[in-house]
Order: sequence, then C-alpha cells, then structure tokens
Amino acid sequence: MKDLDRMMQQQAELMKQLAHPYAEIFRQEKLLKDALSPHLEVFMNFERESQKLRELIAPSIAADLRSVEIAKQLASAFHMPALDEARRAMALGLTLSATGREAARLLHDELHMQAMRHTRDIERLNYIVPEQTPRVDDSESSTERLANPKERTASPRTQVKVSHNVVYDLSPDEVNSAPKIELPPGTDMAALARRIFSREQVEEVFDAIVADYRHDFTKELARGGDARALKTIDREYRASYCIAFVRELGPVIWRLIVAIGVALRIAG
Amino acid sequence: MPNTELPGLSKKEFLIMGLLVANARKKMYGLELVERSNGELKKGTIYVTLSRLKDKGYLTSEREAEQPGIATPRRLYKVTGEGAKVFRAFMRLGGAQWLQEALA
Repeated sequence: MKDLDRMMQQQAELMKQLAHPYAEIFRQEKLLKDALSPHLEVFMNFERESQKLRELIAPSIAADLRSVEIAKQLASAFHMPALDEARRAMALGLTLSATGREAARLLHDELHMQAMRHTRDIERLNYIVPEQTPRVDDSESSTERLANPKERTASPRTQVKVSHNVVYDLSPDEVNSAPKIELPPGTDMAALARRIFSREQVEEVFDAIVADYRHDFTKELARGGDARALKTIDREYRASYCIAFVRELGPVIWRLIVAIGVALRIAG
Repeated sequence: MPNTELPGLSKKEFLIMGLLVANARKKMYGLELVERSNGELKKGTIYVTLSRLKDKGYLTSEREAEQPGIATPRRLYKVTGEGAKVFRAFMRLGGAQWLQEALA
C-alpha cells in the first residue's frame, strides 16, 4: 500500500514537472493578453495573431529567451510605435518571471536603439536636403544609402555636396508629421545635469532622482495608470529636480561671485 | 580640522534617520522612504534632504547592483555610525514620541 502511495506521488510529481513549462507559457500568454486588452478594439485580429504566436512559441518552449520571442512577435504583429511597445514590454516585464524581466529589458533596449536610429535617419535627411522636393529613385532606398560607409562618415560639408544624390522614403511633409519618438522619462533632466555638474554631483543627486522617477513611472504604467497619474509623477520629480538643481548650483554661483569680486579688486 | 558644530537635525532629517535606523539591515532608496513615511516626506524634497544628510556625514549611499529587468539602478542609502549616534541622542531628547506620531 505504501509502495502504491509512493508510486502515485512520484507520478504526480512527474506530471507536475512535465506540465510546468506549458503552464508557464500559458501563464505568460495570459499576462500578455491582459496587458494588451485595452487595445483589442483597435486590433480586432488579436485572436488570429495570438494563434500565430502560439505556433511560434511552441517550438521554443525549452528556450530561455522565449519571452523575447513573444515580445518581439507582439511588437511586429501589432505595428505599434517602437517606443510605445518598448515601454509596454518594460512594464509587462515587471509582472513576468526573471527571464521575462530580462527579456523585456533586452527588448526595451533594442527597440529604443531602433527608434534612435530612425530619428537619426530623419534628422540626417532633413539636414542634407532642407527644402528640396524629393527626387524619386527606385534604385536605392535611403536606408541603403545611409548604410554606405562613405556617406555615413562624410563631413557635413560633403553631405551638402552630395545632396543631389540623396533619395529618401518620406516627403518633408511626412517627415514633419511623423510621430515624435519619445525618449525614456528623465533623459532630458539627466542630460542637462551632466552638462552642468560634476560626475559626483550627478551620480549622488541627479541620477538618484532620475532612477526613482523611471521606476515610479514604470510601476504606474504596469499598474495601468492613466495620463493624469503619469503627469503627476512627472511633475513631482521635475519639482524635486529643480530644487536639487538650485541647491547644487548655489555654491557654484557663490564661488563665481567671490571670483568676480576678487577679479574686480585686483583690476581696481 | 575637527567639526566643532553641534549636531543638528530638522524634522524631515530626523524622520529619514528614523526610517533608516529602523531598517538598519536594509539599504533604502528615496522613493521607498517616501512610501514608508506615511505622507510626511514628499518626492519633491526628499533627495535634497538626503543629500544634506550625506554632507553632514550621517548617511552613506551607493549605487544599486545591476539586476536583470532593472534599467536604471537606484541610489541606496544607509545610516553611518555617527548618524546613528546623533539619532539616538535626539531620541533621548524627546524625539521618540514625535517619531511615533509621525509614522502612526
């Protein structure tokens, strides 16, 4: 009897182990579905895409990076703006396992890089041909041209010279009306602090504010917070940043006044 | 040159010290302190207060270790030996009751 019990227990254990990877996949899939549910109206073909995803997920059940695949497929399936997707993936990552979080982080970085590259491309095209009518040339796309090492490394002067050869995919109107690519929250604050203050000051004070800001922001996004809640967070941290800015700048201004005073005394 | 100034703590500084001393084994980050302060600390001023406490030598800080899923490491704060001594002195001078009320 005891042997039978032990055997049954072992069998139950085995069943549990076998079911585990699938259960994890279905759990993650449910989480992804829940997170995207507000967009169901826009993306009526969700179920079809979901089926595709299931097919894509199936062969990679054992793969450690399966969450990356899920997230990547989601990104391409719904054609959402890259950074929007990155932020969503980041927020989603908070609800997933450690692998999921890492996957979301990787995806965030990758999509962010893509967005930055795209912005650079647009900026570059605007710079090279500021107010010209686009020339149509099917032989080579702008991306291909920009990939050309000779053009990529060319100085601004050379770039203007080669402008008659430039071909681009978007008209100036399209470029102007294209959605702006948003940087992670607090990027502007961190950049400004880095220009003005020393590395120690930035690390001790401003990076602390920006890091907490990003965490708070991501947490609110994951919680499904609305625009007003996000704006409140933004306002709170910007206020904190301004106070810290004034406090850190105080001694610098004082030293400047003393230096000017000394200089005037020497001159006088 | 030794510091001859008398140690001082504002109410906010005292509250931060209280939270950090109560969780002496754990390093805390700014947002965590705000969340645990029962609305007494605000996000707008906490970082400046933390920075001031650090200048006084009552706190140390370090960058959070890189972890998967954490894009921007936070700054973690911990009370120093001197800070703990000053805090205990203020507690004996009647700070205990105020702290209890503030965190109630």
